[in-house]
Amino acid sequence: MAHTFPSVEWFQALADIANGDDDLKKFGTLDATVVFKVAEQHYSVTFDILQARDVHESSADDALEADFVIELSPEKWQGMIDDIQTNGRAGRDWTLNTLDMIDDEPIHKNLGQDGFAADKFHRYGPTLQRFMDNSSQLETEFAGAAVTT
Amino acid sequence: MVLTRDTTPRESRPALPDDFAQRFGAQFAELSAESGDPREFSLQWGTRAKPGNPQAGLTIDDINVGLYGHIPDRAESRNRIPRGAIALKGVTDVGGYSVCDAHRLWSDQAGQLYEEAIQSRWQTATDLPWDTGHGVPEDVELAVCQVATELCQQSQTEIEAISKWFRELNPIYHEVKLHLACNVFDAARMFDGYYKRAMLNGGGMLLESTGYLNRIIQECYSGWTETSTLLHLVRGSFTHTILRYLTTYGPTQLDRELAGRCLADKTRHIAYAMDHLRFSFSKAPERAGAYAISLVAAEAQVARDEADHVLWEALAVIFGGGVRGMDEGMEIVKRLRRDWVNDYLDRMAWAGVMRRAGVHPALRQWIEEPDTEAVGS
Repeated sequence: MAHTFPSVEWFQALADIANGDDDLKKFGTLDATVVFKVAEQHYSVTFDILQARDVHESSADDALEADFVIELSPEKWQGMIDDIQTNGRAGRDWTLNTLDMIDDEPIHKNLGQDGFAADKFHRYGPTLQRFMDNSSQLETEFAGAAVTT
Repeated sequence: MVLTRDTTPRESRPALPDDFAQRFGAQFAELSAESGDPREFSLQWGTRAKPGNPQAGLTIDDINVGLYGHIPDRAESRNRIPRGAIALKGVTDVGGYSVCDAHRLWSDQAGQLYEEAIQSRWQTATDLPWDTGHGVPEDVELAVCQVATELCQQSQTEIEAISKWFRELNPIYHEVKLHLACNVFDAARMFDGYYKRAMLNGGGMLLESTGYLNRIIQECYSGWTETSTLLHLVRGSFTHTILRYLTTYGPTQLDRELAGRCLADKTRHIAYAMDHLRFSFSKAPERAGAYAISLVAAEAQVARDEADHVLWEALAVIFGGGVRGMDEGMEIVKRLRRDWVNDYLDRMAWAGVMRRAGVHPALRQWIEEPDTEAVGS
């Protein structure tokens, strides 16, 4: 079944995979609320130690409460997901770390300018990358685009 | 400290094992003329810890119940007594443990950081894709070995600097010591990982760094807060930035994964120092001047280290894909230097130390928006 990106269903499916992924635990705990921003849409996922829960679409105001927001253009989100699906994991040009560094503006930020919370992007980086890499298991269709597997 | 006695009537308590009084009772009786039953004079008998979050299990913070969770502003005993235990009569200070004030070491985050560290189990030997680390052009391999040498040296400095302080940190603040024990382990793992990386393709260890900052970290006697600030926030931010760039520009999957794993560890170490420094300021704002003096000295040594081109050129070769790409690589090195200085200053600002205006001139050239400060929340 194809899941449309971006949508609550897509992130929920990713959370479900994470919650059953024993290998993800080897990358360490993830204790943060993360908002994924796609254009003007915000999707919040609360990572509670080893569980991804409370997946919901949130408002821009709610994003202020997140530990950090990851913002990419729709084209870059699609590029990352396509790359993960092609290779089974993000290649060098499409990891969260690379995307965060390659342009002048990092892709992650705490909207309240709380640097301690923003640093959690790196503190939980390997686990978060594994979370995104699991999208290789999701049949994804992009809003207004063809299905990719 | 309030001594909480078990108020259960003696006759309604279950009996102690028959041999208890014979084996242990005499020792306890020395503390209490009334009874050899420790339930009568335990500081808080009957205190039970429960997991706060089923996902996390029973964490080190969960056992902070009742008086066991009382973090004193100042430790009264300078010996190895665990928090909540009963001090023996007549035992004097055992030496060391000079850091007895919470504001000189405490962080509310230490317990969680410790839990994260021990949960994040990985080992360089089997959790890294060593087979992907071959086939690197020789000039790039040499540059990788040079960077690995310097990262090993930084790890050694971290291990020794923290280890030196263990005996000075009062164990009543056990969360901090547990976290720092993991920090030492993490540094050992980073040393191990980069030493192995250097040995993978025949390059080995190359030129040691100038090491001016290493030296003042090792020789800092001002206090643990000052040492942690130099080690975790000045040096730590520098190492953090190098690792961050290696997660992208590392020439092999191995290099990128090794850097990514070490980066997560390093961010935990920085988190402790940020939170500790902020806590310290909240309790002892008058110490700000001492921190500033430490930082002036540290930044001067950083400037001396920065004048050495070896590390920058090695990174430029890696980032540029070889000696021929060094010019392009050096542009990335400039971004790296800008990022590390700004990250360092942002972290200091979060902790409450505004350094942008007074930062060493050699670092000032990299500052963005010199008139603004990042703020914490």
